[in-house]
Amino acid sequence: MKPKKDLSSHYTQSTPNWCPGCGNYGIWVALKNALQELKIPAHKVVLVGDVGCSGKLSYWTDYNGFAGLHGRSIPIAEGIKMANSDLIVIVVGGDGGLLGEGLQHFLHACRRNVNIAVILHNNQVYGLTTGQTSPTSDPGYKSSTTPDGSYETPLNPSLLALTAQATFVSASFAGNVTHLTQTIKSAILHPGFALVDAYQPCVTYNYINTYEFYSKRVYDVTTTPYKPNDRFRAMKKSTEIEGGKKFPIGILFQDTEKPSLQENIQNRVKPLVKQPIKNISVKSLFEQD
Amino acid sequence: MKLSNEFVIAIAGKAGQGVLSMGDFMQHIAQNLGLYSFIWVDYPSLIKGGHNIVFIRISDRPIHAPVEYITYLIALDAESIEIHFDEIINKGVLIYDNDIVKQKISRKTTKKQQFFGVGVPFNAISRGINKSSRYANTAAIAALHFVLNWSLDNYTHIIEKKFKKKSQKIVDDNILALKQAYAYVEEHYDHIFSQELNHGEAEPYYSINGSQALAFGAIKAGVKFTAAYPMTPATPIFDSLAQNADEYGIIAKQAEDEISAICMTVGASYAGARALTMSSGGGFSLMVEALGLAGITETPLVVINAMRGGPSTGLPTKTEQSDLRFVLHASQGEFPRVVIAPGDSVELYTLIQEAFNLADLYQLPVLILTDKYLATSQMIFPQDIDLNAITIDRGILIHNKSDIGSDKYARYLFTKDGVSPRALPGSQGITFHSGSDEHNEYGEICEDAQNRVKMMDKRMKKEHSLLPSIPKPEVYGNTHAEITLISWGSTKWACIEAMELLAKYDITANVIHFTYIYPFNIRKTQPLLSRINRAIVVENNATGQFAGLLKQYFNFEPEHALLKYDGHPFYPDEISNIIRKEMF
Repeated sequence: MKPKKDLSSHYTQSTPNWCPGCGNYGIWVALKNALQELKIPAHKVVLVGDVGCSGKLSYWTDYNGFAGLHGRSIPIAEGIKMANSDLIVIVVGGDGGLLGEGLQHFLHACRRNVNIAVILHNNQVYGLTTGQTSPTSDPGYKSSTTPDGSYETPLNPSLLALTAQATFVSASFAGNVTHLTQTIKSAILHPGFALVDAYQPCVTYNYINTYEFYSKRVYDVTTTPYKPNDRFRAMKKSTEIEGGKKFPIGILFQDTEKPSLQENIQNRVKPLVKQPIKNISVKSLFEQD
Repeated sequence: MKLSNEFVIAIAGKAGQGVLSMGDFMQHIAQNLGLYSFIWVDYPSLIKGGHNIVFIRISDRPIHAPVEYITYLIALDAESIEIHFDEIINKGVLIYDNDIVKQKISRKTTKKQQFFGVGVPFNAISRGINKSSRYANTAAIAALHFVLNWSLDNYTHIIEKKFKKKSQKIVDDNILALKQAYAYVEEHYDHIFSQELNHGEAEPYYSINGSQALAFGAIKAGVKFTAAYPMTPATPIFDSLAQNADEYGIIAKQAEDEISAICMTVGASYAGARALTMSSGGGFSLMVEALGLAGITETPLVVINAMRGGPSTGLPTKTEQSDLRFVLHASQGEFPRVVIAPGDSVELYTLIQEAFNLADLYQLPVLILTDKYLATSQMIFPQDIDLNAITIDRGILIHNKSDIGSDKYARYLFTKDGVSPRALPGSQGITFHSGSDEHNEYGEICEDAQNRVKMMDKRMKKEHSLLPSIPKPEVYGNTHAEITLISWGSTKWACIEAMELLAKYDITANVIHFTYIYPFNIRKTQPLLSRINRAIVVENNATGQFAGLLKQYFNFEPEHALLKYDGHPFYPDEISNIIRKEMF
């Protein structure tokens, strides 16, 4: 990747308050790089934050930001996109918000194929509330709420998205900004719902899933003969992470044929924010039987 | 006591027996005859297999409330007789299937009542035509026409209009059922019924239910996005919007739950579309966190809560006004809001438009309270009402960079009235932050104590800034009266009709009707309360929630609170009787 001349642009004056070394920095840089490389004007972008460490990301860019509620960033993003399909709408949230509190929204957005990109900052802990067990924590993970270690099987985000018929499912790693940038770019360009499961080390609370841990285990699927065009093969591929030994990154599945929600709606309804609303006549409604 | 020349037709039977459409047809006929009509529905016994009843009150003067009696009961099954027997007025008529009810009810006399029975084998007549009970309801309507002394032509006309699109065979079969049943009644019964209300001179009106009134008002206000999750009795509002969505360029999205519904709505509104969500109490409970999100992000939002009997699942198909205190305080923390409770079709249509304007002008959530009774009752909407009376006002909007005085746009600029000029995302050259965290003028996360106080004060100031837009409550009847009935929302017309009934007993009463529930315009309202002699508050809940607000905001204590929480709306007679009994 060529170094960006204007890497300082699109940051706000306030600086992130993430812990030094947090995986969020890598995702933050990659997201900005992706938007810059795609040459999307800042005013056309809305970053919708969940609540948690990752959810604050929008505050530290000078794109439009809407920091929503814990678990609810996806429906907010869907509403924004439905109202103004010219906007590029990107959700930034963690594994707690997107897979715990807001799992239903995640699954329904997949099947709805709404044209938003979701970047899942997957650090396997609830960081901001001091490291509790999350839906993706490994079995045995000890925290203040699970002193004996978690007994539960972690959720597999890519597999979930695939079962819910998502049309773009990918994974990447916060420690590989180049790869993450490319993956986010593809997700933004995808005409439908796109998931980027970004493995993100939490340097303060998660001593297992570290930079070193992932660096040794991730591999780019494009370096293998793998083709991301078969949902069932992708499901199989996505289960590789379950042993904790191999983490395939890159696009696991993509279907550009299935119409997005926008395409379905656009046939019937003009973009909402462009419609004039003065002088609407409702007399015929009163007169219908 | 009756106020006028009027009667009530009740059609009762199982779900699927066509009860609602028969009610609709009878309403059309009454309207065509120049009579006024008011329809309400009830589902008194869901446990016993979906028992439905529709009441059609017909009069030669405008009527806007339900009453407690039945003049003509069409019982499509035996159970309907059992349940509604006692409601038939003296000299009323019961129309029943004499194959189903073997015991002949020709002229029943009990201690309270004497009524006529008209037995017609509706099911047998239908089976003779179609081998099913499909036309039993039409056969029953023929008997009703005989009893009413109304020409069958009215009904055949409706059948042709409604069913011609389906098939000529359905039209013919219906008319055959109608004629055969009419011939049967003529043969077996004399014309002994004295009903003489055959025509009137009603001013032209539309007959619409409360859900339609809200949906039409929202469409007029330019609603472009709505999301909801199905819940009785709010769903018909969403249905009405969804059915007209394509024609009016609206996205009506059924969401996976109420949380998603309100969050989508907040998102759509933030992006610039006028947006609406709705539910009943249970679903609204799920929405409350996002209500606060709209509050702190200053996103315009209109939310309808169509109340039903609570708590919890409560009485899903019954009416109540018990969510008032809940919506006033819903969501953590403090933020400005407006609560409006319309009382009839015209107020529903008008006030939802005002709600959209207030939401846009002051960038806050506006809650509309309605209830099962208003949402499902089919009311008079006079045709001389100007449908275009309310002008859309979207407040101060910034469209591009040149509209800002400085380099950087302050979405939450501190202003005198608390309202900051609003830009929409996507505006050329402008970007800004919004969020659920406390923030500075630029929308950036900020926990500084001084900023916190300033920002809270800025938001709360809007509740004062909007006061000039809040009218005083409406007074019906004389300025001075012995008794003042205080209504809010759906108890409006039961109170007004009760006032008219009281006049017949030489009791002078008037009604003060509140539609704007929060914030009150105290300065304009206080004088109206000060001149009250004896007050009675009428509300559909167990704890006198509105009476409590009068105490809190006006230090006003009514002499009597008439509270009803049995799932049914108030009836004018019930109110006037209690006033006569308890207050004199």
